[in-house]
Order: sequence, then structure tokens, then C-alpha cells
Amino acid sequence: MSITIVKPGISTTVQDFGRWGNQSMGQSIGGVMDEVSASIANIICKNDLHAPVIEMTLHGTELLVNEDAFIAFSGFGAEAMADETILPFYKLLFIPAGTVIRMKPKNKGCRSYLAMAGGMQFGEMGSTLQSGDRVKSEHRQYAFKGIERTKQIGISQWKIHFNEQDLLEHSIDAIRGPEWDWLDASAQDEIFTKPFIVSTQSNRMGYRLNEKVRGLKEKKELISTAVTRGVVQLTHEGNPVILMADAQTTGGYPRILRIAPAHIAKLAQCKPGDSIRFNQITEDLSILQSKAQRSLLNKIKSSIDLI
Amino acid sequence: MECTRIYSIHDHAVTFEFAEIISEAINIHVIALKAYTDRHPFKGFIESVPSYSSLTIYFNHTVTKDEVIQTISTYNNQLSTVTRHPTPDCKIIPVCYEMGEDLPSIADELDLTKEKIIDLHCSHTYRVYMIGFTPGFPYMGTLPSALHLPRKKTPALKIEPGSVAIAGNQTGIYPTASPGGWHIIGRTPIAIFDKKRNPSCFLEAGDHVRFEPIAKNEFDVLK
Repeated sequence: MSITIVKPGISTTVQDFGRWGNQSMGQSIGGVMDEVSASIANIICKNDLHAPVIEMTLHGTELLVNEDAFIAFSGFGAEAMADETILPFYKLLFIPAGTVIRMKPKNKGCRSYLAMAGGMQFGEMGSTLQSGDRVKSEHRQYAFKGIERTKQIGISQWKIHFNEQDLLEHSIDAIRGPEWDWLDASAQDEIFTKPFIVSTQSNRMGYRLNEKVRGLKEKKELISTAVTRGVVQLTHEGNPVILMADAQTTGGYPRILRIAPAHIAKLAQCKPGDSIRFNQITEDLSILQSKAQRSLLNKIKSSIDLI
Repeated sequence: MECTRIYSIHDHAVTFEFAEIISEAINIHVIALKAYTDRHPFKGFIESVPSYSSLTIYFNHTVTKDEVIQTISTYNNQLSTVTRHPTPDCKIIPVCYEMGEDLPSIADELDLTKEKIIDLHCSHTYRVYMIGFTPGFPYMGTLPSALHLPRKKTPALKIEPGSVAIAGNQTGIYPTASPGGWHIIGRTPIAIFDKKRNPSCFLEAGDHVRFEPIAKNEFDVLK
């Protein structure tokens, strides 16, 4: 099975779930922005939960399926069309060779994922895909119960059910960061009460927020130290920046918050212009949320394994 | 050495901070603790990332934060009894200072001749305190005080790979083309970062470095 990129759209990358072990050499972890959606696409294709996927930002991507393929879409960045046929998300799809898939505007979330049965192979994980790039899967002998391998597009009867709203609402749980105490009381209060708009200067490295936070009591410089996905830095201009999947490994701005890991997927689905609110929680609650998220994925996986 | 602060930057990453200043003695301790931890990985350990004066430990959900703090504190205590750290070999980095585009402007600003700046930059042995910012970027210190300058007000949009730069009391090398706010005083033909090479970084935290001036024709030969 293989897929060729016809048009990369706004930004299309091939992603695994992060590459660890090289942060002390300044190499960021990377990986999919929305791990929940990406995992679900893999579950549908009966792949390893963390197999590589194609990550598409908003709409505009065009793909050519070169050889018959079983695929699945997840996420909320766009709608997939093959000519006039809508290719539903969260279902297993059989796509015959020669089909062109176009990602059309949907205006729900920011990112969509495409998983291919058998996983994906492409030079370097994290690469931005260009026109003509070909993503392959080694496995050819795939057959799935209840879906015919014909000359037509096949769509499974079943669909993954979960509460979409869990990934689309914009209340983001956060924990106080290491330099929280550098803020005065009014700034601390402001952070958890006022809405923040995701700026257009936002990407896989980080989301810059339009509103400024004033009230840094401490005027000292922080010497460069570790940062990672989810850390919220307060820049010199006062704009908070939420570090995302391609976060740098070290930084020198005060780290005022850190996002609950289970809420990173929601942020990944926020587009520039979206309004978010921070909700303060404890680390204990955050750990429970991550555990619940892992259980949810396992539950979905078990339900698919029965098919 | 006692930790001055232990805090989380993620549910699965704890930072052990030893000071809020840049000090060679503290950085030596941080690198030693990293080496010790890497040699004694515990259940759930992913990786350790050093910075100037702290070490961050990444772990997975099979271990709790309290267990990690316990383990690393034990490692830290064991380390305190080991006082001798061998001085690493000095790595020589050839630099073509003719290619330092900011050299004329900073000569004015520092009220020094270009030759004097080159002399001062080459006269010291520097320590690599940490790698960060972009893959392979070495933060080195300490720069002679006559060369201290604040960062550029407006960062340059594109800096050439291999550019040797100074800012504050630090000197660094841009491994890949990137934006940056440090003053460019020269360029090295050495590939500071090469993903296909093992190890991919020419330098690592704890290394000692000296710079050696070369002419443009030597740069072209070495490149």
C-alpha cells in the first residue's frame, strides 16, 4: 500500500509519537500534536497504538492512493472527499488504487490524522511532506471483516463512538508552573479568569497567545533550563507561549503554568483565533486524567478487537 | 551538593536545581549526576537533560514522581563522596574570523580592534555548559569580560550554519541555519551537528573548547 502527496496543503507531516533520548543534544521530542485522535486512527486500522500517521493541519491536502489501501481518518481539521463521496472519519475505509482524496474545510478543529493499515514508512519521522512524496506500508495482505476489497470505496458499518466535545471544548486544565510565584496576585488571578486568543503566530513548536499578562514581580533573568511540551512561558513582551510537540529543549523565560498532559490533545485541535480559558487543577488530578485517557483508548481498542 | 529546588515541568519530568547562577563547579556536578543516572537507569526512566545548573529527569507512568525524587536524591548523595572529576581533553575549533559579519560593528561598540577581539576570543579555554536552543547548539563560557555585550535588539532572521557568536558572558556556535540574536564574529568549517553522524553533536556538555583562527582559504579547504 502507498499514498502519494499531491498537494501538501497548509502543513502535512508524517509523525510518530515522539523521539526520546536526544534532548540533551538539543533535539526536540516531536511526534503527533493530538495523541488521542492519532491513536484512534491507528486502533481502527488494527495498527500498533503508536504507529506513524500523517498529520494534516486544517484543509487543502490532496492525496493519491497508489495501491489499494485500508485507511482511517480521525481528528477535526477537515472533511475528506473522494470526488463527490464523503469519506467519514472514525470508520475503516477501503480505498481502491487511483483514488484522489481532497481535504475540504470543516471549521471544527485544527488537525486531522490518516492512518494506513500496516503502519507507515517514510524517511525521517517529523518530516514535512511535499508534493510527490510517497508514504508506504509494507503490508499488502490486509483483509478486514465486513468490508469488501473491490474496485469501489468501502466504508465500515461500524464507527468509533466517543464524546467529540471532550476534544473540542476550550477549557484547558493547567497546573502552576515552576515560576508561578514570580507573578503578583492580580496576574495570578487574571490567568485563570480571562480568555486568551490563540495567535496566528502559532505552530507545532508553540502557541502564542494574543493577550498580555502583566505583573511579573521578579525582574531577574532565568538562566536557561529545561522546558517541554505543555510548559507555558511568559515572554518579555508579556504574551504567554504554550510549548507544543516540537518544543525546544531549553528556555529562559519564566514558566508560569504547565498544561495537564491529558488536555494537550484539546489544544492541538485549537486554531488561531480560538479563545481558550485556563482552569487550575492539581498534579494528582492531572495524573488521574492521563490514566483515564489511557483507559479510554484501551476500551476503544478492545471494542475494535472484537470486530 | 544539595539541591536548592526540586520541581516538575511536566507530570513526567522533574527538575533538580542546584543554583540559580552559572557556575563551573555546579555544572560539573550536574554533568556528573547525569552520567551517574545514565549509568544507573531505574524502572520508568526515559532520559536526563542537563542545563547550566539543573538536571531534568524524564520518566514514564510506570514510576511515580516521589519514587524518582527518592532515587535521584540517593544518586546525588552517593555522588557527593566522589570529588575528583577528570578534566576532559580540549577540543580545538578552527574559526575563520574574516567571515564574522558583526565583527566591525562590535569592534566599534566594544572600542577594541578586530585583532584584539580575535585574540581575546582565542586566548581562553571554554566549557560547554549545555546544549540547547537548536539541535547541537553549545552554550559555552566564560567569555573574557572585555567582550561582554547584550544580545542584538532585533535578532537576525537567518544565520549561516557554523557561525561562531558571542552574547553576554557566553559564546556559541549556530549548528544549522536559524534566526538568532547573538553577534557573529566568525565561522567554523566543522559540522557542529550532523544527524547522520554518531554522535550527531560535535560537542557535548562538559567538553572543553579552544578556538583557533584560520584564513578564508584554509576554511574553504576544511569545509
